Amino acid sequence: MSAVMQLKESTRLIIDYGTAVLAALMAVLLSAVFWADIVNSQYIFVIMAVAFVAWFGGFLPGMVTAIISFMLVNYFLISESFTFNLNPADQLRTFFLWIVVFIISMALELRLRSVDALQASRDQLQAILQNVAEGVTVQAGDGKVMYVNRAATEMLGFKANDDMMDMTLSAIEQTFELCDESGSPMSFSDLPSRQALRSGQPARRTIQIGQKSGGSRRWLIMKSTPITDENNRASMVVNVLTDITERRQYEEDLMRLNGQLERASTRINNILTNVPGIIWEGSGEPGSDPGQNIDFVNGFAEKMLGYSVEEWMTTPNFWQKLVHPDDWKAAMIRAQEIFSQGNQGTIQFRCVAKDGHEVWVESHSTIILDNRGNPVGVCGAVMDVTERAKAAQDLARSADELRRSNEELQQFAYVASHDLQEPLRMVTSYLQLIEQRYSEKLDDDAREFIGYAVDGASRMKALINDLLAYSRVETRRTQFTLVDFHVVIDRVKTNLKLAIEESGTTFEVDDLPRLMADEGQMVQLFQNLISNAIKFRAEEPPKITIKATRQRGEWQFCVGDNGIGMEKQYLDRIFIIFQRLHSKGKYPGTGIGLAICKKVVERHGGRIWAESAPGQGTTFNFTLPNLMLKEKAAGNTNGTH
Amino acid sequence: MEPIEILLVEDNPGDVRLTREALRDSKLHNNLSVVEDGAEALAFLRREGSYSGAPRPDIILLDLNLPKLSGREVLQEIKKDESLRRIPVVILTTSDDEQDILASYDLYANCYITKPVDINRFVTIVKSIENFWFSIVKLPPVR
Repeated sequence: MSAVMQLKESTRLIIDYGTAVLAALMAVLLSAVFWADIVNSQYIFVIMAVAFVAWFGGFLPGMVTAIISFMLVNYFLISESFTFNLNPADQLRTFFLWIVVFIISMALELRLRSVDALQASRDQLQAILQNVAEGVTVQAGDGKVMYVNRAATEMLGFKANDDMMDMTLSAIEQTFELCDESGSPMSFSDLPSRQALRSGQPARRTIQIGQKSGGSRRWLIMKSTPITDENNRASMVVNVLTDITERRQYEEDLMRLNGQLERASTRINNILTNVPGIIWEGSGEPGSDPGQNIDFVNGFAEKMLGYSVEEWMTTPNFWQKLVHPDDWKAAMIRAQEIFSQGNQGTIQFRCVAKDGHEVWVESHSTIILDNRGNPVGVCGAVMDVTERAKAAQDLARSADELRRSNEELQQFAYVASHDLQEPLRMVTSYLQLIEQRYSEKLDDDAREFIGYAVDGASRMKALINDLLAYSRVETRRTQFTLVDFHVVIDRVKTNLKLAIEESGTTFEVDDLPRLMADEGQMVQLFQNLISNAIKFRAEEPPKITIKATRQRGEWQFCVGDNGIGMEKQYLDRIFIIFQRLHSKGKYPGTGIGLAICKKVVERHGGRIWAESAPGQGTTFNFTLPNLMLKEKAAGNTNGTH
Repeated sequence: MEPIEILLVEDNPGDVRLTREALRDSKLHNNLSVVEDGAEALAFLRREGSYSGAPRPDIILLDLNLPKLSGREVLQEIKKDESLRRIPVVILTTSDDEQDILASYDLYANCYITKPVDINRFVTIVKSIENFWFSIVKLPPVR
């Protein structure tokens, strides 16, 4: 930079002094040519040359010109030529002339300096104007653009300052589109520049401006200041443009964010007021000495427990007031545990509402950590679970009652097996004793009566035994083992040997599986079904078929006979306890057998049903789940130990 | 020949009478003593109080459902007592409950019999008891 300036400076020196020398030579030459004509003003050309050189080069080049020309004129032209001698008149004249050229050079030097300073300050001003962030334009009185700085050029969508120079009002109106502050179109005559030109008063306005041909539209604050002439008329106007596009953008963003925030906060408030639980936030450690202070709680708190939001937030260590004294200690231990671990947790306890009634609550809390990970507070939700807690209590009570009633049932079964049978035995035994001891004293009627009495008593015994068996199906402890159903059938055949032989019953037994089941109950099940088939036989000897087919996850057994069968509408009733389809005289029985079958199958997790038609025989079907694999493995393990 | 001493622990007079009837026609000469509750049974066996002159039974027929001490408790006491444990105890009861049967054998009952409803079968059973324990079984020598 300074090198360039030095170069410029030296070039200027060469030009200045070169000009000085040339001007001096030219002045001397001219003086020589016109010497005869300029008798009384021999130095006119010299003075002109000095003035010329000093106008452009200043004092020193002017003086150089003067010295050179004076010397040459003196040497060549003034009498006694070719000497530097002067007569006294010329010496005086020369002295005055020196004063004249000195003054001229000095004056012109001063002029040059002031012109330079003016130029420098103009350049500076121009640089400042070009570089300010504000856009500046100047329009003439007729609206023609006289000046545009760089910022204004950019704001108005042009590339170079010259693009806008000399634009007339109509050109401006053709180029731009205008909107006012609210964003609606605006007339060019409302521009502050026009107002300022019209009124001679400063004007300002926020506008949005952009070129019709496209490009970005900017928001500007336009301040126009008129410059008035002596007649107080605006001769031009200076417009200062401040670009507020970004600010407007920020403002709009801010407004939109504010709107979103407001909506979100309304939504959260709605949720907080309407959620059926207490939402709260507290600071401090639960159960510590000052305790926890509630910083926030929603409106539902008052609905649920009666204390106002104010009471929640102003009472120190409010939880202690709220939690049932019996639950306080345990709840605090748990709360401190959750707090110190800094995680989430659920606590159940009772609260005492303001009116004194107890409320079971479930409190879900999340610990608030500071940025170093230390627990500083708690936020959470507290739900009213009174109904659930009561339901759980009811359930526990019912379970208790059920257990008790089950125990009573077992007790009853025991009593039945014992105490109900003893009086029966007395009746039977002593009737028989009478019959035997006093046989010859009794007539036929008496013997018949005794017969009915003994029969009644023995039927009652059968009934008691069957009832007992029925009640024991459930109360018996589970003892599932791997049961081979061929073995079960063999055992039943042995038990029913007499009836099978008497009736001439034949069997057709397919392959039967081995399954996990209660073997005793399986014998009971098949024995009841088979003896039923024998009992309800038709004219021809009973033929019983036993089959098993594998279904998905279970086995289906079929026990079919060729007996008397039954009407379809009775098929469901036969499994109900004491339901009989026939008179006791024709087919004796207690009506419990199939009820026991149903209970046994259901206890094993299966279903039982019958298919039949009168005269077509009956088929009993039942399913047993296939527990074999799992249970068998367990059974084997037990077996090896 | 000395009579067989039988102790019947039974609170139902009907059953006592039936047992007595069943034993009446017995071939073996027997002497039936009857006590009506568990406490009395132990007193009889230990010759306490009014039972100081009681004979030592050769067999005990024990019902399970008894006033005061139950049959199970009596059985437990007998089998704990070194001087009594060799006396055969026959549980003779109306119960055919599985738990009763298991518990009795666990307490070292010598056998368990459910009383039948039919009088003839009852007589047969009582006679069988007598026959089995005194004609077939070798009992340990007394003292």
